[in-house]
Amino acid sequence: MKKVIVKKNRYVDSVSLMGLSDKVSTYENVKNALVTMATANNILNLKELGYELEEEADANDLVIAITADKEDDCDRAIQYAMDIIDHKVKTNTNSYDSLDEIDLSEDEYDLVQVSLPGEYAYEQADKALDMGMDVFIFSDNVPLEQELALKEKGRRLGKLVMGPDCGVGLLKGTCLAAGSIYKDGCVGIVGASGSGAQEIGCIVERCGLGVSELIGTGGRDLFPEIGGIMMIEGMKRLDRDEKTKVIVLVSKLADYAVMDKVLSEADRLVKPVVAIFLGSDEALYEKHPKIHAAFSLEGCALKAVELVSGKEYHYGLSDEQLQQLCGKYISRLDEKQKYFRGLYCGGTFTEEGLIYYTSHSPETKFYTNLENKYAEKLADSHKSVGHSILDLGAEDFTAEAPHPVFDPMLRARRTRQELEDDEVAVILIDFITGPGVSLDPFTPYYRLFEKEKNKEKGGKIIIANVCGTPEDPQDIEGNIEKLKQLGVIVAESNYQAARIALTMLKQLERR
Amino acid sequence: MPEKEENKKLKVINIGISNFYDSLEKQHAKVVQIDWQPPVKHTKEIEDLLDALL
Repeated sequence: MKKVIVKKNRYVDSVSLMGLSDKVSTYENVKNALVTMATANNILNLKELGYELEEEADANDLVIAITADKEDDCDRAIQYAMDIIDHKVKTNTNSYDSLDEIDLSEDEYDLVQVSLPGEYAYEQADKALDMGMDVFIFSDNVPLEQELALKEKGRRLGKLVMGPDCGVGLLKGTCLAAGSIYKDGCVGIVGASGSGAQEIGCIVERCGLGVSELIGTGGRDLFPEIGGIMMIEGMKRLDRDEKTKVIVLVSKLADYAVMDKVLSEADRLVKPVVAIFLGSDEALYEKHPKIHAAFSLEGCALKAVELVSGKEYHYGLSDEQLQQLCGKYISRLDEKQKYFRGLYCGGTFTEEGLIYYTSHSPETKFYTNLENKYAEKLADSHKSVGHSILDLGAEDFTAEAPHPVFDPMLRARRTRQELEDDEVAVILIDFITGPGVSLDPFTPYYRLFEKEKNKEKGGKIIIANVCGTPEDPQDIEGNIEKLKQLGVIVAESNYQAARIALTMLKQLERR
Repeated sequence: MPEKEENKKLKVINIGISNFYDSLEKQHAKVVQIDWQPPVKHTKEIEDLLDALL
């Protein structure tokens, strides 16, 4: 049976709600659970899952929806969810009430991982530094002056301050927050861009190497106010690290003076450095001939592999193979199908895609929900126009639902919306795996893709990139196989996915 | 001197999202959770009353 209750005016922030549905789903005799705020989108989600709301509810109300065999089981699960929200149950067996309770002289710790709402993150991170630990801050909305104070303190004390707004990290073989698990190896990565750093690690591993450390810095580290403090400290640490043989620096395009300063510091390192500032040109590296410049995430990873192994790796299909593949798929489309929709959840993947599409096809008009120089901003992020490239992890979407790496529902629904558009020809989707993100990002799409595959004519062409490793708990190898069985073209990297998509688009234009 | 086995593993204190605690535990890292609660926010009226009382 299904039971839904609404708690009027019971606001719970999205950070606290994250993972709560998964936790309640595993409670005794529960088959499915959704604990969420009653935003318009979430009410739609509930309806799609077969739940009926018996009273009016809005974004200030909390909804708990349970599927179980008996009403008693539903009631117990609802109470369990409320107890977690009200902090009446300790959800983990090994816990303390505050950092002050931990005596580090008796019980050693390396690092404090903070994922509180932004306004509370500074105090905990500052305390952790005072206690002599490194800090990883997943929280966003931390004021810039607090970030600067923490990073200056970290530098003074010789401690890492990864973040705020840091999604990935890997130290001593353990991945933090939303990252992937890598095999131990000799490629050290410092990343101001989460999915960018994650993709580089994944490609390095696919080429037979591994990652020594991945030091995330948070996306604002290269802002002029921060001056790249943690990227510089991170690369110096990797230069001293015995295991690391090559250092990779990855960031979106940042303040020119800060990028130049970071590269000048990299010039002084003993170990070889490969750098990518996504969207930069070769001129940035003119004064830094020692640095190996890369212009795609894939190119960056392959260069690092080459520097370690001496072997040159090539990724992707040849131009001829690519044209053939695209021709085969396009022949199954209807006349009216002409548009491309990129439905990304990785911010860096969206940007790498946009850079690729617009630089390789400057005459084509692209739209996006992001504010940038590459494409025209959509009037309404919830409605695609022409060739639309969306970052579904951007704030205009995450304001109303959890980020799609943690909960695939938001993007699955948007995918269905795009699939229902008769003029859409090609859809591109990225999947990101790791022990801290959704444990099943694939299943919500399978039914949708199967329906497309079974259409005699006019089924959409689906292209996917899977950013993850076989060590992640999502069984990426099995899921890649399943995607292929459903007719999805699985690319070897985000760059290759973009290359396939644009080749499709060019062939569509020539039809 | 070879590094002690226990020092090779990351030891983490997690404050916030419990999924991240679970993720670290699955990876066999040493991890503890801080059951953090937001500080109580008083309305202006209660603040004034407390000020008058204390």
